[in-house]
Amino acid sequence: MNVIKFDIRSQICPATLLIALKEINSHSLQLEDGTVKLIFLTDNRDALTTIPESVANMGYSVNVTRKENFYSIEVCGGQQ
Amino acid sequence: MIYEDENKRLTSENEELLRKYQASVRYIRDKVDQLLTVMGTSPLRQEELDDETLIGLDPIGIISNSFVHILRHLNRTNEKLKLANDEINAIFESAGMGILVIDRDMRVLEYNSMLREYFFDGASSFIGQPCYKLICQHDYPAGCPFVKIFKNGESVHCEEWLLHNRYFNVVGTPVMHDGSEVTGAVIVYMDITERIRAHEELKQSEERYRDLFENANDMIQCIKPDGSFLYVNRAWHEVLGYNDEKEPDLTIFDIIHPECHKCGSEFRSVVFGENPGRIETKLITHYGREIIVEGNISNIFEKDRFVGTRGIFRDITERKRIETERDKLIVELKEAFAKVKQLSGLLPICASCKKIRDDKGYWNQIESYIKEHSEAEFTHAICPACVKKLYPQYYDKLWEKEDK
Repeated sequence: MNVIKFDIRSQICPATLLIALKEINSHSLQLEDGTVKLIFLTDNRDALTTIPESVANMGYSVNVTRKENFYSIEVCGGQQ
Repeated sequence: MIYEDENKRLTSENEELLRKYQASVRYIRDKVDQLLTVMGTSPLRQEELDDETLIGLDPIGIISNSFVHILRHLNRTNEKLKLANDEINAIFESAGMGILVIDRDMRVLEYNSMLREYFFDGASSFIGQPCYKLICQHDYPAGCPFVKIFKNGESVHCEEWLLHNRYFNVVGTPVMHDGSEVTGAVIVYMDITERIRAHEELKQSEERYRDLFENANDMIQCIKPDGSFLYVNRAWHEVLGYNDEKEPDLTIFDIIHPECHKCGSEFRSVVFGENPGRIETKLITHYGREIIVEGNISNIFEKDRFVGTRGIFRDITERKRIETERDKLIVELKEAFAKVKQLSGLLPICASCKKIRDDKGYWNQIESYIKEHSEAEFTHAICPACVKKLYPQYYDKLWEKEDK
């Protein structure tokens, strides 16, 4: 599986969400067939709510993990 | 002059275009904010994205594409929900128990065919009517155990509930909205009437057999393969005198007479089911008395596994004593009869001297013959007639006065 990482630290919502949605839209086919996983690195706490909720509404799996000074939001295919 | 006019026109046109551009940007920002709010996030701030970046990023396009995914996902979810709903309906209708769905006011929202058969058979729809009127035939829900579901949000179980002359096990489960508010309840009625009746019949049958078991005059015992007792009846206790509580470790070997232990393998083969059938043996009571019992042993199997033997015995000690005495009496009678027989039949006796001729042809004095062929003994005396004849001088002294 191809992993694509986006470092959007220092960005704040809703720009963070828009960037994440843009990348998810452009990789939707690969996400659905399971060939790609997107990882967004963010330090914006609002994004921990807005991105996972939007991603879940779009039918993708999302997993948030806390790192040292930021968060990692993993998005991959698969219906929830 | 011409340039000035042209400059003014262009400046005015530029201002108009700028105003239109700013209006378009405001429109885009408003729509983006509206869409972002729908997406569940905060509106855009000016400092976050300047107008040029806003146009370049195309947030409306991004969110519109996301909506396409969201709608597609919702459609898939709806299809799954529809399928799940169809499956639930199939289960609802085919369940072998009555299912009732009620709202907070205990009004009927839904019920399945089995519930209709239980309570509404032949009637029209009862949707929207209070269940306590339809099923319990009460005007108020007071006393209904399922009211508790709405008070504390917990399931309620009622066992052997009598409704419409039938028994039910009933389970009420709350329907929760957002995991906290109880909006309704699902009540499941399982008809256990046949089970209850079968249980009652079984209980009565068991009581009849227990009565027979406990009041039987014969001793009944069940022995496990290790020789311990599984159960014994009242007669067994009365005859043998052992107490289950005082002697919990009692085994068959403790009550078998030592003489019977000697026959070891033969005894085991009968008692432990290797050779079931009739048995006669000696037992020792709690008080040390020997008793003789006879009875039958049969095997007990559970799922083809040997689990013990069942024995039914009768105390035949008294009968045995009587039989022994009878046998002894018979022997004595036979002996006596044999002797009596020796003096029966035709005895040749001399008409004059009264001697008897024996089988060998010898003539015997009658006393010696009878003495030899019977238990009789002779003591000699002389009768008055013979005294008169043989010793007249004494006769006169002895009987003259009486004769006079």
